[in-house]
Amino acid sequence: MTRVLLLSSKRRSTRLYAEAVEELRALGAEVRLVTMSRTVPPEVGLDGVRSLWSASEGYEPDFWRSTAFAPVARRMWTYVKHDEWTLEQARQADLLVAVDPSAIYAVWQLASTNPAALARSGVYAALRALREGATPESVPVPTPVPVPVAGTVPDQPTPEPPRRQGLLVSLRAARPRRRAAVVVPEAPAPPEPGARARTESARVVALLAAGSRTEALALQDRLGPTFKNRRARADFHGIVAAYELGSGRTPPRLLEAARAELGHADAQWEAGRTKPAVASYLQAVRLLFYPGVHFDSVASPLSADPHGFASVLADSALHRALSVPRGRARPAAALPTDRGPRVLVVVNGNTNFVSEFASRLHAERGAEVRYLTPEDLGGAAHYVRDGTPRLLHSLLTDELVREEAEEVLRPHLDWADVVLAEWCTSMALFLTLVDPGDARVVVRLHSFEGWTKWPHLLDVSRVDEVVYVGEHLRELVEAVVPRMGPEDGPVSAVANNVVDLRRFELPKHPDVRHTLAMVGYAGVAKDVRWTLELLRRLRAHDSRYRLLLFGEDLPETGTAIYREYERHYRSEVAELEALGAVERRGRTVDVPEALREVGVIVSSSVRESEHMAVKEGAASGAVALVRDWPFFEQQQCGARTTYPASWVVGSLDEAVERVLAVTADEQVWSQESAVASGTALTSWDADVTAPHLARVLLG
Amino acid sequence: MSRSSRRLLFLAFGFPPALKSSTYRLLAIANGFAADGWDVTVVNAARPLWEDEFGLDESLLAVVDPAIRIVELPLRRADLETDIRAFSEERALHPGRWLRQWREQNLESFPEPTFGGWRDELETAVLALHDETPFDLVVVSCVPYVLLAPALRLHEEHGVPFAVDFRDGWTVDVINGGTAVEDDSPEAQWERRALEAAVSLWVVNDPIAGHYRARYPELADKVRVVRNGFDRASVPDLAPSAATAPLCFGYVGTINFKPDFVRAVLDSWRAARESSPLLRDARWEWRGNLGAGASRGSSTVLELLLDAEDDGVVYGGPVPKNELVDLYRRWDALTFMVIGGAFMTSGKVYEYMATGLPILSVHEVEHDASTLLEGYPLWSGVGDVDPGFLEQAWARTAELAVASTDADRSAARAYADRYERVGTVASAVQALSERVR
Repeated sequence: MTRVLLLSSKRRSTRLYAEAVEELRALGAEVRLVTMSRTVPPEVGLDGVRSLWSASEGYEPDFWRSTAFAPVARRMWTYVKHDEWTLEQARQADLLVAVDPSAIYAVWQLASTNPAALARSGVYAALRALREGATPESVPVPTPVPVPVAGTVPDQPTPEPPRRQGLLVSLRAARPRRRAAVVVPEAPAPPEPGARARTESARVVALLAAGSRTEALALQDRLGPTFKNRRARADFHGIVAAYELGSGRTPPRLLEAARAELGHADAQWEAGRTKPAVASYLQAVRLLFYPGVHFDSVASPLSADPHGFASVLADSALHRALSVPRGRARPAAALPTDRGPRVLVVVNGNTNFVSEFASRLHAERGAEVRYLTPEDLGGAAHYVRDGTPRLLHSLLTDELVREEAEEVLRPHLDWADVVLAEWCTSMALFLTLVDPGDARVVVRLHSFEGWTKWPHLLDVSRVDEVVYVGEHLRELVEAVVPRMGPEDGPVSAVANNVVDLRRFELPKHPDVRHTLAMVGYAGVAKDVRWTLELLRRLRAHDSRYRLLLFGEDLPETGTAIYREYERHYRSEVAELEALGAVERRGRTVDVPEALREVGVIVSSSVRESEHMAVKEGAASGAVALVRDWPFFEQQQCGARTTYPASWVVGSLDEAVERVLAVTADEQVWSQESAVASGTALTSWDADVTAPHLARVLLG
Repeated sequence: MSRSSRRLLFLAFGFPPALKSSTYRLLAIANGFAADGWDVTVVNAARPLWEDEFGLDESLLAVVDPAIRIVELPLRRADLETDIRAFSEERALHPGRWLRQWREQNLESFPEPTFGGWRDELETAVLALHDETPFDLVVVSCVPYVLLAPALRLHEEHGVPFAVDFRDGWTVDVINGGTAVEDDSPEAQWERRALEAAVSLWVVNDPIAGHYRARYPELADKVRVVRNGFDRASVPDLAPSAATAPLCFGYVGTINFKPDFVRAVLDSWRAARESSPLLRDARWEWRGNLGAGASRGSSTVLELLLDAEDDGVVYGGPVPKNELVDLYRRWDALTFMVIGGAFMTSGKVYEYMATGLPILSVHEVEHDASTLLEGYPLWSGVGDVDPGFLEQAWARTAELAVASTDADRSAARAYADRYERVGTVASAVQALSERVR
C-alpha cells in the first residue's frame, strides 16, 4: 500500500479533496491530509486528517510571537515541525504532496528527512507520479539548515527510542510542549526570568491537570505579581492560558494573561523593537478575542466584563499608539440635490445583509451603488486578508500602508457621497487609514465584531456615524470600546437589517403547532443544545413535540472548547433522532416553504444582533420563543428590547411554560400565530426597516 | 527546382500530440503545406513539456499527414516542474520570487519571460537541421515568440525566407485592446526586425490585421488574415434535432478564466435554474484544459466547478479531438465563454457554429466573436457577464434548444459552412507558396 500525505496551507473544497482521494485510492494509495485550516473535509475517504490549527491551540506564547510575521510557507513549516503526528506520517509516507504553493516548503523540508519518498507539487502531479511508478531522484534535496525555534522550551529529558540522525530528530529536541509537565518540579526555580516563568507555570499547570483548579488559581494569583520582568510575566500567564485553551477551557485569568503580554509588547515598543512589539501585541489580542472563548462558548468573559477588556487595552502604550485618531480635514459634504446619491459599500465579501437594502436604495432613492471588496485593492489586499501584522507595523514605522490605502481608495472616495463600511472588520479599518475627504462615512456593526479587535483599532475620528443592528450591541460595544461611546465617539444609531418578510407569509400545513424549528444552528452561539433540552422537557409533557433543524450541521472540527460542545451535541441529537423527535433537514434553498410546517420558531442563541430567523419565522406565522440572550442579560438592552417581552424567556422552565401555553390547542396557537405574523410584518419588514436605514445612511 | 522538392521548416510548438488551443491550427497548416506538395519538417518541443503543461491528445497523430517529419526538441519549462526534490530552498520557500527571477533570467536571452531561455537551443537545433538538408522556406507560428530568433538567424546567415504566423500578435494587447508594449521595448524591436525580414505575416482576424497595417504601413501588403475555422471531422454529420428536457449545456475549450468570472457565470446558471422551468434539471458539462503544472487538479476554478455539482455542473476534463463529435451529439446547447475583446476571436466559435446548436455567449460585447455570431440564427446574444442578462440568456438559449425548427438548425449550420478551416488554410498556403516561388 502506497502512503500518500497531502499538505495544504489553506482550506480547500471538500469535493476537491474527495476527487483527489478517490483517484489516489484507485491507484492503491492510503491518503492522509495535513491542513492549516481549522476545518477539515468530512467523509471523503481519508485514512487520517490533521488540522494544524487545532493542534496548535495549546502552543506557548513564543510560538505565536515568532510566527506573526512569517510568510505563509515558513509559518506552515513551523506548525509542521512542532506536530509529532505530522512528522510521524511524513516519515512513513511514500509520496508527499503540496496541494498549494504555500505548502511546498513544508514538503521540501519533510522530504529531506525521508529520502525514499517522492515529493510533488499539485494533485495531478501526484497522480501522475503514482501512475508512472516514479522513484525519487537519486540526488536528494539539499539538507536544509535546521531553524532553531527561538525561545521555546527544551523538552524534559524523556527516554527516546533510538532513531536515525536528521533534521526532524534535532527538531524534536527544540519543539515546545503542547502541555507542560503534569509533575510539579522539585528543583528550585532558576534565577533566569524566562526559565523561572517556565518552571512556575509548570507548577500551576500541574495543579490544573490534577484537577485542583482552586489551588492552581491561587498559586497563579500569588506568583504572577512576583515577576518583575515583563516578558517572564507574559510567559508565565501565557503558558497557563495556553494549557487551558488546549484543554478546551476558557482560562479564568485570561485578562491577566493579555495584560501581561501587552506589558511585554510595551516593553519591546519602548526599546524600539517594533516588530517583536507588534508580534507580542497580536498575541495579546489573540488571547483577548480568542474565538474559542467568545464564539465557541455559551458564556463570554467580554460580555461579563466589558470594562475590564477595555481597560486592558487602554493601559497599553502600544495600543494607544496604534489607535491614535487622525481626524479629517473637513466635514462630510451635504448630499447633492441634482442627482441621486453615490453610495460606496465597502465589504470583505459578505453582502448577505446589504444587497436587498442596496437594491431598494437604488430603486427608491435613485442611489448609484458600488461595492468595494478586497479584490479591488490590488496589491494592498493582503492588508485586509492576513496582513494585519504588516499593517500594524507599517502604522508604527513608515506608514507606507497609509500611502497604499490613499492610492487605492482615493478614486473611490472622490466618487462617493456616502461610504458604508458593511461589517466593522479589516476593510473598515483599512478605509479609515485615509482622510475620507468630502464623503460621509458610516460603519455598520452587526454582532460578532464586538468580540474582535477591529472596533478597537478603527479610527473613529474618520467615521461620521456608527450603525448598530441592535440597541444591545450599541450598549455592549460602547462599554468595551469607550471611544465609540456617546462622549467621545461618532454619532450612532440603531437600524435593523433590511429583509423582505412578505415572502414568508404562506399558509401553514395542518397540525404544525407541536413542530419547533431552528433555522441556522451551526455555531455554538446558536446553542442548539439548549433547544434540545427544551425539547426533552416538552416531550415529557407531550410526545408530539418535535424539532426541525434547518441549515448546515455543526462542523466536525474547531477549537478544543468547541469540540467539547460538539461532542455533547452529537450524542444528544443522536438520542433524540432515534426517537423521531429531531430531524436535521440540511441546507434549505426555499426557507419560506420550509417554514410552512413550523409552529414554533426558536432562538436559543447566547448572542444575536436581532436573529433574523426568528423574524422570518414569526412572519411565516410561527410563534416565537426567544431565549434572553445570555451575553446581554446583564445589560439594559438585549432580547427583551428586541422582541415583545412575552416572546422572551429567562430560563428553560419559562420556555417550557411558554411553549405549552401557546400550543395548548389549535385555537390558541392560531391566535398567537396571527399576532406573531402581524408583529413581524408591521415592525420589521423591509418596507419599514429600509426607509429607516436609508435615512440613517444618507444623513 | 521542382515543386515537390521544396522543403519547409515549420516551427510549431504545440503541434500534435500536444493538447493546446493552437494545436488544431498548427496541424491544419502543416497538412496544408504537405497537401500543396511541400516536404514538411515540423519542429516541436518533446512530449514531456506538453505533459507538464496541459497534457497530450495522441488521437491527433492519426490525422497528421504521414509524409510530415516531426522533430521534437528536449526542451522543458522549469516553472512547470512539479518534483519538489528538484527545487532549491529559495524556490520552495519563495515560489513567487523564484519565478520572477527565473523570468528575468530568460529575458536576458530573448524578451519573452517564459520562453526566452530557449533561444540558444533553438538556434542551434534549427541551424543543424538546415545543415543536414537545407530548407527553402520557414514558417514560424508564435507563441512562443522566441521561435522568431532561429528563423531570423537562418534568414540572415543562409538567406532562407520565412513567414510569420502571429495568430494573436505580439505588440497588440488582445485582452484589453491597444498596444501591449512600449515602442522602444526589446519586444517591439524584435518584432519590427522580424516583420521587416519576413515575406508574409498571418493573423487570425481583421482587428489584429488592422493593428499591424497601421503600425507598419510599409509592410501592409504582407499582412494576411488567416482565420481559424472548424474541422469537418469534429462536428456531427447531421444537424441536431430538437431537444427535450432535461437539457444538457456544454462548454469545451481552454478553461483559462479567473475565479470571479467563473463564480459569476455559475451564479447566473443557478439563478436561471431556479427561475426557468426548462432549466430546472438541466446539466452543464465543462470540458477542456484546466490549469498547467502544479495548478492542474488543484486550482480554485476546479474547486468552483466541483462545488457546483449539486447545481448540475460537471467537469469532465480535457477531450481528445476524435471524441468531439460524440460530445456535440449529446449536448443540446453550447456556452461560448472567452476572454478578451475586439481583438480576440477564439478558434472555438467556428466549431460551435458548425454544430448548428444554440449558443449562449459570455464575453465582452465588443468582441470579434460577436461579429461572427451576429449572423448565426441560434444565438441568444451577448451582454458581457451581466447577471440579469445572463439569467435571461440561459432561458432564451434553452428555449432555442427545444423550440427551434429543423430549418433553423440547418440554416445555422449552413451559415457556418464558410468557415471550414481547410479552405482558409489552403488558400493561405497557396498564396505563400506563390510568393516564395
